[in-house]
Amino acid sequence: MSSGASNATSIDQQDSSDQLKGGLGVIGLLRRLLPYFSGEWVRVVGILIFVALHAFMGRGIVMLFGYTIDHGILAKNQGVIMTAAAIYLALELAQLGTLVAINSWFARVGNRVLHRLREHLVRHVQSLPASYFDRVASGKIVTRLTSDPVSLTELFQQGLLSVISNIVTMLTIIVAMLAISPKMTFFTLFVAPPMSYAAFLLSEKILRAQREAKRKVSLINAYVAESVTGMRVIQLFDQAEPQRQKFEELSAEYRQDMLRSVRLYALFYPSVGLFTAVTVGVALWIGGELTGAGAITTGAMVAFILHVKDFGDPLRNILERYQIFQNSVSSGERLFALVEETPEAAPDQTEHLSHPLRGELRFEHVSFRYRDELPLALNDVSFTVPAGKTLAVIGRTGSGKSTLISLLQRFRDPCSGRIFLDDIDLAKLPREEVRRVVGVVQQDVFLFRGSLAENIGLGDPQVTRERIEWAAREAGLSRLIEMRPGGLETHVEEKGANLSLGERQLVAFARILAFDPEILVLDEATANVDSETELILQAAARRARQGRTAIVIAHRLSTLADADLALALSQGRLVLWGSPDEVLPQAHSHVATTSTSKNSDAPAR
Amino acid sequence: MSSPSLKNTSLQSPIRHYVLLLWKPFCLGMLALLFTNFFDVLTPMAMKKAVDGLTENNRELLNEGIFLYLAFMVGAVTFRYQWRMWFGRFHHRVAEDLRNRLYRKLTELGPSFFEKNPTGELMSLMINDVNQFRMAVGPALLTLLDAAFLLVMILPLMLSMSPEWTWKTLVLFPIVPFVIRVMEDLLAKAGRNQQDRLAEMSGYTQELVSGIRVIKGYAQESHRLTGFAKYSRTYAFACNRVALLDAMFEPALGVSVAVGSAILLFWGAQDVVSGLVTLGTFVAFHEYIRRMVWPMAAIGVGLSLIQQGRASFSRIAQVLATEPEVADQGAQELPSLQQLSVRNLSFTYPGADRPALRNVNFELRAGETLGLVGPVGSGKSTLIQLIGRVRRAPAGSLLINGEPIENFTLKSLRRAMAFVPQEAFLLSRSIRQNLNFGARHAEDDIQSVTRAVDLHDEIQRLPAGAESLLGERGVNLSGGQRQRLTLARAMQRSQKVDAELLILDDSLSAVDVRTERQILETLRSGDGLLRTAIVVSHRLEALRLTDRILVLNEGQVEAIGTHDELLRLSPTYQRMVEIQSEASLDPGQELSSAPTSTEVTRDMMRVERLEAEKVT
Repeated sequence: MSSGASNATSIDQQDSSDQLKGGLGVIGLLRRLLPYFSGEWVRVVGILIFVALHAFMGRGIVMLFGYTIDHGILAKNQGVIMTAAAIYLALELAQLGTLVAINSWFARVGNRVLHRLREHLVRHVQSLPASYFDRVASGKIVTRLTSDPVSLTELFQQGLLSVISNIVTMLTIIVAMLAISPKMTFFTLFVAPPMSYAAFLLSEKILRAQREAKRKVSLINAYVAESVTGMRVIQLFDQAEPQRQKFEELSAEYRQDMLRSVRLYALFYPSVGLFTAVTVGVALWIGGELTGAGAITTGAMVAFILHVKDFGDPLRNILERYQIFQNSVSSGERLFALVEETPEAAPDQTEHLSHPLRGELRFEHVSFRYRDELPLALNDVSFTVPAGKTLAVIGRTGSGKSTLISLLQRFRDPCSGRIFLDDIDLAKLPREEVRRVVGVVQQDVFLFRGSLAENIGLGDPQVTRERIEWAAREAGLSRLIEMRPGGLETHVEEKGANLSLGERQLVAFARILAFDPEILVLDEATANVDSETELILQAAARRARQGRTAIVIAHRLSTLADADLALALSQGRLVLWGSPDEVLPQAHSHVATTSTSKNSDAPAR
Repeated sequence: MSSPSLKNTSLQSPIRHYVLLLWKPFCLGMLALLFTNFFDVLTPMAMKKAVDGLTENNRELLNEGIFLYLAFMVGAVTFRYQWRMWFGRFHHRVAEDLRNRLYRKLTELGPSFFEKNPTGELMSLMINDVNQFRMAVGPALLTLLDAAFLLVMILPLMLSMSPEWTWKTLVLFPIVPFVIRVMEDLLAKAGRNQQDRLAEMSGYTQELVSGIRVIKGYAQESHRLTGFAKYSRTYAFACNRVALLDAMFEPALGVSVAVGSAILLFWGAQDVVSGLVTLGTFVAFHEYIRRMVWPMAAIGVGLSLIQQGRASFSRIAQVLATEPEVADQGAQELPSLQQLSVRNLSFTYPGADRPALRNVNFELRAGETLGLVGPVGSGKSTLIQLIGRVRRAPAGSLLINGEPIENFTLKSLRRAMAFVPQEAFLLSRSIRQNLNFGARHAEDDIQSVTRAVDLHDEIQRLPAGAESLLGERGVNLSGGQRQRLTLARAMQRSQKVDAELLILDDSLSAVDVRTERQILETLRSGDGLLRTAIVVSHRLEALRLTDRILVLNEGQVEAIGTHDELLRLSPTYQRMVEIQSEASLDPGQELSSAPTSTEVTRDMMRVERLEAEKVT
């Protein structure tokens, strides 16, 4: 509502209702992602080879350094020093090169995988039933489709690869150390497990602190949004000061949360530094004895110390990545919960419509309710609209008119009873076939960003440019098109904000004419439009009805009078049926709104 | 509040302002950083001793080296914790202060500011821009200091070991800051591009979700999917570019170290061979080369962060420098409202080519009620907002008790008025808290007002009653319920502060006619809240209860008088009466007197239409 979409997104991060049951875990998440890796395996293997190369070269450089000390410097051998310097430079540069390759290639693979995942998600979302879109706020769905895969990006770019390559690096370091002296290796690294555990505990705390801070950000956002929306009321009610105080409390809490994070980080980094200090100290201590006894050369000793110093970084990296993994897992859980939503039931493709259609529509004892605990939205409704005729439907808000449309488009299926189109049960037809035949003009016409032409033809390649032009003309859009410099290419803003209500409706009529469905369902606009537009709209509606079977949700008397047949709905029941002349006189008693009837104490005029 | 001059520096050189303001944590942080660097820089020297001890087989020298190494490391670790904490305190305080200043400013600004600055942008200002500036004043400044300290400490040490080695090995280092700067800029640009592509993709997805009925209705799923795939792929490419630049960042730094180390190996090793320097010096020097790269990079990173922080701050400063629309400069307290006079009031919105109000004149005395009608856009809301001092009226055109309205403090003025705006704004708190919004003490008694607006029973029916939360995570009220609650809130407040003038700005439009009338009657009778009031309404029915009615048309007073007078004087009023009398035909007669006239059906439809709109 007032707090806007971004706020809704941040709030739902704590919402656990749409999480996958049972949770995923890192391994589970990776397993779910596996199918999207198809076609990437060669690249993945290639990258892993580079990761290994990178790690080997890193050790090679240190070993070369040690070798040069022993065999070049201490042995006073010029030739060795020269060669070593050249190899050293070559190795260093090659190692840097592999690093660039690894990181950028892996990101590339990740982005391709995520692209595939997004595509799959969108395809899946499009297949979900209407009830899903009623149940879940659109902002939330958009977050699932766009932001959640973004947090998976981190998993690829910083998480997964980093952990793999750091583990490989650590392994090669241990091997290199063992090669120099197993005894020294053992004594230096015995502090590693307790140190890592302590650092791990810290990084868990950091994760929690960061989540709390994130929550505060969304609270602040919501608070600001609410304040901005209601600023006039706040000022008029002289509440600026209390509002400010409340904000300042929130602001201070946020700072404290951030500081908690700072403190934990301030503990985390030094603890890794301390680890390095202890290991290097121990290495030197034991190394002193070993070199003294001649068991180990000075160069090897220096190399050993360099190895040990290299050990701290990958350890810290892995522990730092822990947070990224955790965040990705929760995004992943939400994502795959979406994947598990059941799509619209697969059609019983037992039958197909035979074209050309006659277009006779028949409802037989149709009943429908939205949820078990709700009353029937349609209650045993039966009627027939002969081919090519127009049926006007009247009734109050909530009488079941829009349910009728949903059933006709097969966004919902009747709980009992059947709907026939040319004697074929709609339920036995593929949904897409039904929707191609039943064209609907809704009250609030939804327009996409893009040109007018794209909104009429919806980008369907089967709708030619000529057809779009013809449809626009027929629907009475000519005036609109001539008025705007862009003509049919005029840009339509989000939700058609730059078009008037009447114009949007005309675009919808043009859409109908362009797609030429056999059945027309028209939910007449209720909002006021100026009289000129009204005339054009009525003409467009009349043209759209020509040669089609039509069901019109009527809000205007003229529309009702124009129809061949009419029915009135009240609380889901069909209460009146007949010709408009028969239905009209009784309409008011059945359909009358309470607010007019209550007006009994109106003063005499 | 800060004095004007201080406020000025706080906007012009914000970094200096905050360093001076919060000098204590800043200086302590700097001191701790200095010590950290000191110990950090010394560790290779300890290592040199140890390595020399190893080569010379001198156990004592080795032990001394180990001891010093550990001591220096512990020192560095201790002070590293300290500077992180002090600097953290410093820059998070800065952020907090900025946030609070911004929020305070927002509460002082009027509607024309909020019309220009969408909520989303203000939210982003409050979180993202403040954070960007925090990064500049905190981590970026720190990085630069860190770099400076390290350079000042490491370079002399290196020079003392060997001036020749120093210039030879560091040959590539001076260009590092420039390279980093360029890469940072490229990265920032690529990052922005990535964000834009993400926004595009999200926009497309948003439409795909909101327009799902159209898409399914025309079986356009596969075309939409193709469209989405295009955006998704473009976004993936943008991500790839960021990743590539990101991947090059570290290696770009590494090249200078690699070249430096190779040069050291080539030239330096020979000096060790010739016995000019010890092996320990060689190893320590190697370590210093590695350490030199960070300060060089830090200069690039720090400068570019500060630049981004400056850009963010200029956006913040723009808001902070905005003058409030209505200056609270009055010195007088308004004891009680006796008379409101509007004298030749004209008002034009900034940027508009036609005035919204032209030469409006009327008087309202205590105890009088005035109705306000007119077509959409006739200036009713503008007039109401000017009287409520939400917008600024030209000086001298509004008088209270004969004195210009500007002479009174905003606080006392608002105390004298209870305003019920058109849009029913409620906070996402409980119903009780909403009702007590504006009352100084949380009152237990909310019944009298909820009964007055016919909301008592409806609240009782909610699971948590008056404690039910409103908004996204709570109960959803209908438009009419929201409006009635808003009215109740104004009543609750006016009881508390003794407001004398009640202003209803079409505040019962979503309530049905009968209930509206009932509520207004309650307001008039008994407690008599509707003593002095201005009531804006589209429904003439409701205005019958007011003493006089003012008809506005295109910003001008068309007529003012009683219902009967207006029927004679005002064509606009006549037309409205005609239209509305159709809508309120008594259905009781309808049933008996079939066949229905066409009007009846049309009205029935219209009323239903209205209802349908309001509920959503």
